Amino acid sequence: MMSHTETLENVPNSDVGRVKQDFLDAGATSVSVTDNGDGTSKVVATFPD
Amino acid sequence: MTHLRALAALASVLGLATCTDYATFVTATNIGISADVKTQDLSIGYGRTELFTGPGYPEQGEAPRAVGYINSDLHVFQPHIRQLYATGDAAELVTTPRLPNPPNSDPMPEPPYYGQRRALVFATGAIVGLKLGFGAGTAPVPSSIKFGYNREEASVIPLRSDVPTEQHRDRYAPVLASIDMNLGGATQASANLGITQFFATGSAARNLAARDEFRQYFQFQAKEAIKSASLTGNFFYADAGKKLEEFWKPNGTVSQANDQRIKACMSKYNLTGSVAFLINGRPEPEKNLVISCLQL
Repeated sequence: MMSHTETLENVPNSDVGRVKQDFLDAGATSVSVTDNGDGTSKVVATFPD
Repeated sequence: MTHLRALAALASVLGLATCTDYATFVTATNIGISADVKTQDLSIGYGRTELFTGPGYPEQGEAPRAVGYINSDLHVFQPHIRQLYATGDAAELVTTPRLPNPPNSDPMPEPPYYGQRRALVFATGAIVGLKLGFGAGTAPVPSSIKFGYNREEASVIPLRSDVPTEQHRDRYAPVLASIDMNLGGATQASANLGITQFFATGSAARNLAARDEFRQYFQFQAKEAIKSASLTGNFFYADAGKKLEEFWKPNGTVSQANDQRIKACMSKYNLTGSVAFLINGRPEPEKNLVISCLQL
């Protein structure tokens, strides 16, 4: 099955939980979070096409 | 269809559609660019017609060689145009992937132009009209866009009049036509409409199609299209994002009715991606477009 991703850079760690939930509520099948080590993270959501 | 009729009329006026002892290759290009610094309006018009009529050699699956090429950035203030028009050996040489180095003086092999001759017609017509307005707002994007595109491609490839058999199969003469367009620039001064067109018949079409860079060009386009399906942006969440999120999830959960309304407004303004990306990744002016559309 085809899929596409949406990536948000430099998300403050305090917002990561809310952003992650937004993506899941928008239909993302998975959301991965990578800590940048500077108080921000990269959030990648995968959506089915 | 008007353009196609014009092409057909041109072919019939020339009286060559049924004529097999002439090969006629015509390209015609019209470009118009107008920019008004006072109103910040910009108009770009592009029209090109390509026509080949002449004999086809259905027993050999061949057609006379011809190639037409145009590339232009249609830049507003510094337009560059590169154009090529070639027939016969010149078309063969210019499309051949690799020439011997050092060049040899051997005569080029004779193309298989023999046997039955039947009329072959290959034509394309393209018209592009673009009008951009930059007059309103401070964001570096056009405030209004009007775009029109019309393209026709037609070919009449002759086959043998005899019924094909396993030993004597039908053979098509090759023809090739392509167009690529790319609108760029965020201000009136930097706006441009890049256009690249190829038109080729006979072995010139075969040579072009076999060239790695030509085929890779289309593979590159496909890869870019796939890449563009994925969105990347910087986190941006302020007043407009909060307002949209409250509308989207009024009680902490998604309201399906509001979700559909947001998506309809995103579609109206060509904002791709999810509602979550709109809320958390798109810049404030784009969120405000949706807010305005929703009349919040």
